Amino acid sequence: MSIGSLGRRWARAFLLVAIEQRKIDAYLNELALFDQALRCSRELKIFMTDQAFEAHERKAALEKLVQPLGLSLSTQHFLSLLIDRERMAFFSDIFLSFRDQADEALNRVRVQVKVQSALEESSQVHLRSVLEKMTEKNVILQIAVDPSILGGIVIRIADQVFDGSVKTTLVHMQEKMRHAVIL
Amino acid sequence: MIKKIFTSVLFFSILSSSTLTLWASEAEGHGGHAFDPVRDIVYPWINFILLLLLLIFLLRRPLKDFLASRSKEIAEKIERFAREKQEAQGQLLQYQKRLEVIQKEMETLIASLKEEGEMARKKIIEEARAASARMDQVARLVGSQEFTRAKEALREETVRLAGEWAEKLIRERLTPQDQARMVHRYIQQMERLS
Repeated sequence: MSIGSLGRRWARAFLLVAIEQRKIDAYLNELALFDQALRCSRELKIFMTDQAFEAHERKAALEKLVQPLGLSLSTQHFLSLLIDRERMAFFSDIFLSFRDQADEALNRVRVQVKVQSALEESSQVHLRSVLEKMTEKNVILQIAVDPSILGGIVIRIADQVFDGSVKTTLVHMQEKMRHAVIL
Repeated sequence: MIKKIFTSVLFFSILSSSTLTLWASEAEGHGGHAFDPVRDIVYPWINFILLLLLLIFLLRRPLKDFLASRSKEIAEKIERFAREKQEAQGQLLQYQKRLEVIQKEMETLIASLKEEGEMARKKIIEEARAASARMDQVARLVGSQEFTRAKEALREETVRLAGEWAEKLIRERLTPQDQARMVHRYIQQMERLS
């Protein structure tokens, strides 16, 4: 079984619980916090994923994180189960799969937006409305500032990219110049 | 054999002749020496004729056999020589024919070699011309390629410098208002597309 398939199955199982309890976003946020904690602390990640450590030791450590991260009982049980079944090494995949499935369940889509400088609130609202109209889904904008695009905006919806950056325009111009006929 | 017979006959005749001569001498001794035509002419002639007849009688068959044998031998030899001559002539003819064939083959071979030589000469000349033409073509092509490469390099350099210059200009002169305007315009375009 592939890691992707494995992640989807675990994520699907926890999503069913979340749907039943009507706490999809809450659990998604909790998993995001736990994922962020693993990303921030290399030691924590090694401790949680390395089978050299006993499961009860790892679960004890998890219990200590419950309070600071504000994890619910269901999330705690889910993470404990991952430790018992030695699936903590695939947590990132499981989390991403959970996020995608949760978005699908809630009819929303995450859109990565890249701009040269911070995007004004009014522009964000305008953009979101346009994208919601396009996708017919609720849109979550994930805005990142990237000065290398020089100007304009780059929008990515799943595998679809709308590139309105100055950098790309320049590249296209250069390509046209390359193919121009020199007499 | 013939020699032996001949010797016997000769001996016998001589003996006969001697006996007659002796008898005549004894007769002369008793009666004195006087010419007697019977004794001096007839007896020797009789003696001679008898001897001749005896010789003919005795030597006729062997001589005939000898001559026949000799004749046969000579005929065989003539025949053999004729046959050998014929064979030799046949061989001569054969060798002449073979020689003619060889000469013809040699002529054909020489002609063929000359033809091949001529063809090879023509081929070498053609190849040399083709090689020369190719070299000329390659030289032109290389020249052309060099020119194309130089043109491409110049074009690439121009494009790169233009890009760098444009990027620098944009970084220097692009204001937040311009950025907001570009974003707004692009969103409007997307809106129109949707």
